[in-house]
Amino acid sequence: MFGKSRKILSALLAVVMALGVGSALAGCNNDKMPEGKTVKLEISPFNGGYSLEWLEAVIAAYEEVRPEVYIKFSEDIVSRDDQVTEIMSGVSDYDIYMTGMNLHGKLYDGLPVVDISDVYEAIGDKINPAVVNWYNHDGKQYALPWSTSVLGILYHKDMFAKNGITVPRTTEELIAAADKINEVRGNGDGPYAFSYCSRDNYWSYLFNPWFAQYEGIKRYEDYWNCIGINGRQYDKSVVGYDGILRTLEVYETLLKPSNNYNHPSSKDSRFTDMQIHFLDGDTAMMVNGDWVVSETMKSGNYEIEESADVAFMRTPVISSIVETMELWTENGREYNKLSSSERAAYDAKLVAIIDAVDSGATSLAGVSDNDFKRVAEARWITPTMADGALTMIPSASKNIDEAKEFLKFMYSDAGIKAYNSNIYGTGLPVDYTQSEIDGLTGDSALLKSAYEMLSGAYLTFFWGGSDRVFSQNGLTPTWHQSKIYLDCFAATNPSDYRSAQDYYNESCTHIAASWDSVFMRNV
Amino acid sequence: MGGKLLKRKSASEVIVRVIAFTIMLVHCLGILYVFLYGFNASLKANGRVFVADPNSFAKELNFANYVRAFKEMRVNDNSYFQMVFNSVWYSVGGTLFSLAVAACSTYVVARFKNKFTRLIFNICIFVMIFPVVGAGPATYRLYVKLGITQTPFILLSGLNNLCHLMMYAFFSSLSWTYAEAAYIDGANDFQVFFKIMLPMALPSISVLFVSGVIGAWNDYTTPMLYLNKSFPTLASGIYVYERKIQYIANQPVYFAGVCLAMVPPLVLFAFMQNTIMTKVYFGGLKG
Repeated sequence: MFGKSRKILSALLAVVMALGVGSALAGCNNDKMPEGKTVKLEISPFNGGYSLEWLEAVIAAYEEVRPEVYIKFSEDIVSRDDQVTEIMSGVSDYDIYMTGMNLHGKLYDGLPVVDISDVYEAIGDKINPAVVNWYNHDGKQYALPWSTSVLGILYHKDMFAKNGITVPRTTEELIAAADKINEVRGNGDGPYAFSYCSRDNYWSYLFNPWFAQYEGIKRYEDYWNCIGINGRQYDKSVVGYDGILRTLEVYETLLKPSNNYNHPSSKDSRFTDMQIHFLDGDTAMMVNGDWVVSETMKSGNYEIEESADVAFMRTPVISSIVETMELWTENGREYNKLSSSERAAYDAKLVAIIDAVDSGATSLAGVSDNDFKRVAEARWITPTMADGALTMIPSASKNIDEAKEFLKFMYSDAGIKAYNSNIYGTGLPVDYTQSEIDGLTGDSALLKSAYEMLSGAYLTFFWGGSDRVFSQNGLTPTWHQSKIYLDCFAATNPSDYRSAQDYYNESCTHIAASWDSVFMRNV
Repeated sequence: MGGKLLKRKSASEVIVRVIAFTIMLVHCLGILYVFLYGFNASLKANGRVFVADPNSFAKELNFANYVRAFKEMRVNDNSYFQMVFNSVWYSVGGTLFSLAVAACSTYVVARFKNKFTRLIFNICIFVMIFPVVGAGPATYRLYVKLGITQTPFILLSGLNNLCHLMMYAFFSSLSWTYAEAAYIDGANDFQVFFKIMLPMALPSISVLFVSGVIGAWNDYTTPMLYLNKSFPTLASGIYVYERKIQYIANQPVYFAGVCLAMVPPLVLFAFMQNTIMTKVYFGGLKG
């Protein structure tokens, strides 16, 4: 029997080997240049939520303009770390890398990539200025974004309309909407307010916009240039920005287990599962990125690209912003110490200003110019993950000039058109007119809302800042060695739970203790 | 009388056996549950059905998921069968090469003790304890410069220090008497090595071979970095597949792919389990 088993196994192995050899010979990768082509470019794209139809389209459009160029790319590059290893090694078969992670910190380690400042010059003023600033490293540009990745809170329009819920304009209204959803659900099987994925921390996408709204763009940028509240750069007082604590307080309310706002599966499931819960109407809202269009299209279960129901809401303005405005009259008191009626009164004033901003007004009777401008600025802050979608040319590329031409083309009118028509998400980070938006978005409420959030907005980036202290040494507003704030606020175990104030205090202690040894290394 | 004595078990022995059996049974059921859960999930209609109730039984047998998984499980135009083939030569070839080098070099170092062989041994130990954190880009650069990436020559990079240590220990403990007898009979060094010493080392080599093949079969990081463009293995193929499929939100297809990937090692183990277990059990004993 044993001998017979071996014979059977040997026969099976022989068949498999034959099939494998046969397939390998039949499908041999022919790396020869096609006829008529004299230049070859190889692109290493990160194949994530957006797929690569947009890249195929841009390449096809480029090859029409430059018929002598042959461009090759692989659909199977799914490891961000391998891309980083290849670039860091300084030897590479690829001419262009389109990564899926923030590599700005690696520039300080001497990441061997080409200076593409001339590409930026050729593209001109098209690109959103926040992108140009963020990608600047020591006065030069080393990367272009290949995606904007607009982030925000998705919601079901029909569910809101059916239950008489106004689209939240402030975080107080967001919490009120969540309370209303809880009321609708009661003790039955109805929807929850939010779904999120604990493993991927999608809630954290809103940290920077809320922080920026509270502090204002100038102070927000000061923070990410590591300027402390005393005006000195690389000073420990950088932890003293009140916007950090105020943002944590919003999260504390949204995630507190006793508020029961979040779908029970949020802590244990993958992000795609939580997307399904949201799209199935098990939850009313979900923080997500515009890549959800592509991901759900590929699943074949939803027609989200034609849906008039699911859309982004403009990021609600953090209600405690009123503390920083001239209309605040509670000297010595903090916003979160006010009674609910007092907070409601301030929020009503804030909502009135927001409505005026949304209607296109430039002022509002009874509101100072400074306050109006503060709210207008806050209303037009849009979170993105463009800092994680870097297009770089490795120094080892044998076709640097051609690679640069390709990048210039990608941001030309023809390139943008090819890209935008084939990306199942928002287009590149440039401005769009309303007619362009209508042409690109069709019936999709989600894409329309994403484009509207993008145009003319101040963009915040998920990883925040490119200064060495942040990108290389790891400082973040809520740095804590072992506890992530979202998990602490959502913890049911009392020993793991932290209030916003406690978490903030612990975070400041950790930052202060590690300031010289960790964060000020090489500064 | 003696037979009856052998059959009679004490109460404590029975209790220990029952407890041990229960623990092993629970352990086996736990492992089986994972397999059965995956198989059940692979038969569900789509991601929506799965997420609605992940623990329910599949209502229909959607074997089409396996067809889709088979089609999705391609890496750089390499099919499932190609990846299995690549896994076979990568794991078997790499392990054999590593063992061949280890056997030859450690035999010399163990049997012919002089300053030079001691230096080689010390270098081997030093390389083992030297920290390699952060060596990824430098290693990648070296292999690219050597021209061994995306080719079967990458097997040259897979030399295993553990093999060296174990073979060295084994050859050191072997009696030299056999070799002396062979020399007296007129054998040369090569004949002594290949006909006397190496056959005596076969049990150890078998253990190292089995563990080496299993380790190399499951290794996905090395093939991902150095072979993925031209010769992806099944392990790296599963990794790529898992990374791609997570964006499609079709968990049944994902589980179908995982079940497909289990087939080659399951078939191998089903036919070879006696051999593998015997080698592992007796591997410590010589000749």
